[in-house]
Amino acid sequence: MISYTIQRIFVAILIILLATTLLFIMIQFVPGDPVNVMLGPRATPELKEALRERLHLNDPVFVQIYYFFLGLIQGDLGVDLTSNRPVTSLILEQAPYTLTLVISVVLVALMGIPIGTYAAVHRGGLFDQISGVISVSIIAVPPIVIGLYLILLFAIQLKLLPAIGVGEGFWEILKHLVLPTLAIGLTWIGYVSRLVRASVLEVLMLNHVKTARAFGIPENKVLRDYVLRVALPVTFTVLGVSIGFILSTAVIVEILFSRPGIGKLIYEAVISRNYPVVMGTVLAGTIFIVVATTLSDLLNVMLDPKSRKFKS
Amino acid sequence: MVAVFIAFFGTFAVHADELRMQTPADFGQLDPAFWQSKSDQTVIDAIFPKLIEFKSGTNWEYELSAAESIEQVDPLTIKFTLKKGLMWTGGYGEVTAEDVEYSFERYIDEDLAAPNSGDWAALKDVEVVDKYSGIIHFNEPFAPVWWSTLPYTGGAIVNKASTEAAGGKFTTEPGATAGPYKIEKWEQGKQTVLVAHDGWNVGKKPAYDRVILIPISDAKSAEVAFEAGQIDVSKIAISSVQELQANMPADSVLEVRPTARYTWVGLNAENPALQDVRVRQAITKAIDVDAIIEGAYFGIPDRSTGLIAPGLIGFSKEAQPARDVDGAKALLADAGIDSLNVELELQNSKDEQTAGLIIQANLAEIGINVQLNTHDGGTFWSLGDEKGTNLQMTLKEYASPPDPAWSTQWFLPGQAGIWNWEWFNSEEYEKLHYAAISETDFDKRAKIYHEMQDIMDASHSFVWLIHPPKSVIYKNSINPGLLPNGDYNLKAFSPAK
Repeated sequence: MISYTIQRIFVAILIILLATTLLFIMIQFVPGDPVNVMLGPRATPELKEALRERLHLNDPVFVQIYYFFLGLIQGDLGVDLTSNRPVTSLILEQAPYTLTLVISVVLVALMGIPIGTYAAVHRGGLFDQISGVISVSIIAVPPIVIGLYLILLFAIQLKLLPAIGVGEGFWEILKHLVLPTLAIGLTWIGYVSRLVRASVLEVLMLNHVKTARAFGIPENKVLRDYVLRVALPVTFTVLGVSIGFILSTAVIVEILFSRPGIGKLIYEAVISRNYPVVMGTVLAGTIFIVVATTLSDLLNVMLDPKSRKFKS
Repeated sequence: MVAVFIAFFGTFAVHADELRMQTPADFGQLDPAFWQSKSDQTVIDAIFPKLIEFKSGTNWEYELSAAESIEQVDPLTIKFTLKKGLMWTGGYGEVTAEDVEYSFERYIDEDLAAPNSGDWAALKDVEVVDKYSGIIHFNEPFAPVWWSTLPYTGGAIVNKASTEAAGGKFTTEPGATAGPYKIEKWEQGKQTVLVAHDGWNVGKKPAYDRVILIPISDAKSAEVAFEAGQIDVSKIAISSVQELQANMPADSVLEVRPTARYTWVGLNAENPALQDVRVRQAITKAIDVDAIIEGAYFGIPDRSTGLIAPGLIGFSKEAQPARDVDGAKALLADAGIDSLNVELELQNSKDEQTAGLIIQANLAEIGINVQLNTHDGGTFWSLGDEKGTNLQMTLKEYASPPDPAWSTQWFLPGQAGIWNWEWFNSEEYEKLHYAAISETDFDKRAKIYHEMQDIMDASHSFVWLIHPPKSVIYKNSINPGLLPNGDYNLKAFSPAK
C-alpha cells in the first residue's frame, strides 16, 4: 500500500508538470496580443514593449517555461497584469469559494447513494421507476439550464433564495450556496443514483450475498456489509474522477450566479489574456483535480480488498 | 421549525442608507494615470476629488467641485483656487495646490510612462501660487481639457505624499483619497464597499452612507439579480430593453441614454479588393443600416449621422444617405466587377453576429459574397497587427470620452494599422484634427469637426451604424445619479422623495 501510494504521488507530480508545460505551449497558439488587451489603445509602443519584456513574451517558449517553473519553485506565480497583485494571493483568496461549491456538490451528489440503493433493492417498484425517469431526465439537462430555472423559481418568483453572490455569515453563505449547488448537483444525484443502482444490482446477484442471506443474516446487515461495501468503491472512484467535470461546470455556474471563485477568475483572465492569472489558476485547478483523483484512487484501494491485492 | 424556515428563507436585508449597484467587473487600476475600464473609472471618480466635475443629467455640463474658482485666462493658461478644508484620508491633511501640481504633472513624466498621458498631452507645467491656488500652463491651446480631462478621470487629484511614498504610482490600494466616498473594503469578485468620506467638506454630502458595487459580468445575471431584489441599480443589455419595457418589474424605472461610443463598418482602402473607391461606395450604398438597427439592435438606437455622437461638440445633424441598391450595382458595373469575395471581421456578440448576417445578405444582392470571420474580443483587437492590410471589412465599436478629439484621433494617418483599420489617409483631416484641439471657440471647433466628418464620408471607407445607448434600470425609490451617457455618478444618487 505504501509503495503504491508513493507511486501514485509520483505520477500525480508528473501529470501536473506535463499539464503545465502543455498549457504553456497551447497558450502560444491562442490568437490575440495580451499586451494590446492589457494596456488598451492609448498606450505608447514603448510601454507595450516594456510589458512584453516584463512578461518574457519576446523570449522563446522554452525560456518562458523555464521562468515559470523557476517562479513556481519559489512559490511565485507572477502578478496579475491588471492589478499587479500576486497571482498566488488571488488564487488563495478565490479558492475557498470554489472549494466550498465543489464540496457541497459532492455532498449533494452522495444523496444518489441511498436513492440508487433503494431503487436497486426494490427493483421494478414504483420508486425505482419514478427515480429512474427523474434521474435520466435530469442527467440530460445541462447545469446552466437547471440553474436558470432554479433562479427563475426560487429567486425571482418566490424570492426565497438569492440569485447572485456568496453572502456573509453562516446562514447567508448557506443560502447563497443552495441554488448553485443544486444547479450542478442535481445532475450528479441522478448520475450517482443510476451508477449505484447498477452496481448494487450486480452485487446482489453474487454468490457471497446469496450465502449471507442463506445464513439468515439480517437484510440490513447484508446490504451494509456484503453489498454496499463491494458496490460503493466504484462510485467513489467515479466521483473522484468527476471532480474535474464538477470544477469545469463550476466555471459556468460561478458566472451565472456571479459568485467569486477560481472559475470566474479563469474566465475573466482568458477574456483579458491575463496569462499569469490563466497559468496560475489552471495550475491550481490541475493540482486540485489530480489530488482528488489520487485520493479517490487510494480510497478505492483501501475500501476494496480485491483492488488492494491487485495494486500491490 | 418555522423559525428556522423564516430565518433561512427570510427576505434579503435592505438598508435605507445603502445602495447596491451592479458593475461589469472589479476595478483593476485605481491610479488615474493608468485606469483602463469603466469599473476603474467609477471608483476613481468616487474616491478622488477633481477641480470640476460633470453634472448628472442629460446634457454634458460641468460644475465646480474641489475648485472654488477656475478660469481660462488665455488659451495657454488656466487659473484655479481650491476650496479649503477638503481632507485626505489617513491623516495626510488638506488637499493642496501642490497635490494638484503633482497629480497633473505626473502624466507628462516620461519615467512614469502613464498610458493615459494623452489626457494632458499639451501640459507644460502647473505653477503653485500658494497652498490653495495654482496656474496650469499649456505648451499649446488644448480645448479637450474642459471636456475629457479636468471633469473626466484625468482630472482626479491624487495625494502627493502617499503616492510618492508608494514609489510614484499605485494600483488597487491608494495611500490616501479625498473624494466623497472612500473604500471600506474590496473583496475581489465579490464586492467593493464604499462609505461616505467624513473629510469631504467641499460640497453636498453623498445621500447614501454606503455604496456596494457588485461585479456581475453577465448582463442577464445582472437583470436577474435586480428582479430578485438583490441590487438596486443595474446596467441592462440592449437586447433586454424591449422585453423589460413591456414587462417592467414592479417599482422600477428603465432609462436608455445615448453614449459617445460609435459603431461602424470600416472598409480598408489599402486592401486590393477595396482600393477602388467605387467598390467602397457601392458597399456603403448597399448596406441597409435601418435593417441592422432593427434586427441587431432591436430598433432602439437612432441611426448614426457620423463619427461624433449627439450631445458632443461637432455632432452633425445631417442624415446619412438612404440605401440605394441600384446605385450600388451601377457603381460595381462601372468598376467592371461582376462578383467579389470579401471578409468581414467581427466579434462574437449576438448583436454583431446578427448585424454581420444582415450585411452579408445586403451585399449578396449586389453580387458581393461576404465571409463572416467571428472572433472573441482578445483575438479581434489584435487583427490590426496580425492581418495588416489584408484586413478588408471590420465591424467595430470604439468608446470615447465626451470630447470629439478622442474619436477623431484614431483615424489619423499615423494610426493606420494600429487603430485605423481603414487605412484612412487624409492630410487635410490630420491638419483639422490638430486645429480643432487648439481651437477654444466652441462654434469654430464644431465647424472643424463637421468638415472632418465630411472628409471621412467622402472616403467611402465608413458606414456609420449607431452610437450604442446605455440602459440602466433602478428602483423608483432612488433618484439616479447618472451622467448623460448613463455612467454612474455615485455621489449624486439619492433616495426619491
